[in-house]
Amino acid sequence: MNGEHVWREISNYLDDAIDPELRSSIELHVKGCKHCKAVLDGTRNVVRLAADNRVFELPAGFSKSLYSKLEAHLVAEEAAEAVASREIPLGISGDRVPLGSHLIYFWESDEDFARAVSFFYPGLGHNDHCIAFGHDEALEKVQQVLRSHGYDPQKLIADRKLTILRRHARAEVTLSDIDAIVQADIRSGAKMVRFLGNLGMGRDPLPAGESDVLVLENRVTTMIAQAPCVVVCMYDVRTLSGNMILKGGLETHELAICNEGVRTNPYYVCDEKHSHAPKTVQ
Amino acid sequence: MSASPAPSFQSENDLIVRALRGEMPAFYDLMHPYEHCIFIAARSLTASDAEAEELAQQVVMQAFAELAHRPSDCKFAAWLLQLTMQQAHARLGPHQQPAGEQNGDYVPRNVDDWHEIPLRALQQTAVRQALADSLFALPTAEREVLVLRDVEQLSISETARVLGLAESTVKTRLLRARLMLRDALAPGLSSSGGVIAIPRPRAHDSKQAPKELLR
Repeated sequence: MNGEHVWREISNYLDDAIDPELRSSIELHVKGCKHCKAVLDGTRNVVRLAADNRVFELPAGFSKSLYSKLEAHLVAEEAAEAVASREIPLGISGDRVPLGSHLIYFWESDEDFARAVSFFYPGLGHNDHCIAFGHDEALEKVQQVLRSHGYDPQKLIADRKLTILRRHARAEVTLSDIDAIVQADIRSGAKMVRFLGNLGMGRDPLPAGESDVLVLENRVTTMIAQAPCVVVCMYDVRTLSGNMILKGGLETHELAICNEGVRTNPYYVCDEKHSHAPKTVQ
Repeated sequence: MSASPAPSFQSENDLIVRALRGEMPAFYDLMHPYEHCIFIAARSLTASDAEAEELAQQVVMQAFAELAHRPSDCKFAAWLLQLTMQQAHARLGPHQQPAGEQNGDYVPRNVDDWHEIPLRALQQTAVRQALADSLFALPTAEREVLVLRDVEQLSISETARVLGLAESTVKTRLLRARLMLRDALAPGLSSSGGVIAIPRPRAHDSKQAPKELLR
């Protein structure tokens, strides 16, 4: 064994990663070689020194500053979540709409109808409560569409994820019913309520008349402005008069769901009593 | 070599579970014992304390974001050091990345008698500085291995895993790094640990073994 053999193995020697025979040979050589002893002693010495945590002192305030970026990030994330939580995915289109939105959706085919029910899907996967409101035929159809998409309406109702609300009274009573359900849902932990209303004139049970429908639409806007709620009103254009489409559909909803997505409705008439500006689509 | 003792495996796992539930105090408690270890690794790969602090902050961010995906068979310290190396490599330009294996062996240059530098000498700022300067002067590939193995006290296999290297490569680089560090410190420190003259660390290019070693 010569010096070259020794220093090639010095690192393994210090790490005790060589067999006993080689170890003995190295130790025997080092005893009689001051140069190899100098290399071995020096290497052992620097390994010990490097392991001492005094070599690198933490700068003053390091512990505090270490988390500053993370904390700033979390604050920003929380703020972004707070903003996002005031908007919900509409489901019917790829848009997000602010809570308190009141949207109109005109439909005439089964395909249009099924598309409207997809308003519920993002909510049913989360902690939202869904309310289907309207006449009997529409309510049955909503449940059929849900079933065709793998949902069990009866289980959703039992789990308080879904309420089927039949229209059977005048606007004042209906509004009171809706308000009670929304408030109960929020108290029981729902983060928000998705309300899908169906208006079809000539379908049972009948609304009390066109004027009653207009009262309902106007009051709904006021009511949901104060609750974590989004309302989509489905208007069956096959059964509605031009006056209903204009006064009930276009003038009382600030947002309209079109084939291309949600658009600000230029025909919306802001009720001054409600004194809130039309919402914008994000 | 953390400033605070690492928590037991059980309490560390408990802290991880709680941190994953969003309990920030648990995350801080989890990280606290490793702050020094992150700083050292970061500092050894950056040019200043300020740069090291910035890199360490990135490591904390990444650790927080990826805690749920931490490999379960990896010590927490080793995982944090792996993140530190990744962040450091991402910041280094391509020309500063660790070079491939250098050809040939590193041969010790100074084979005179070694004067033991006692640990108490580290109380002197100049001695600490000499050691740190000598470490910074190592080539990046050797420095990384030495920092993980000798400073952070990872095993050879943990060092290999953190750096994505074969264990044989780690051993080769470690030998080179230790010998280089020894040579860099050899002329500058007296037997009493007092600094005689802090040398400017030299380039490690010697491949010629002193004749004394070849006997």
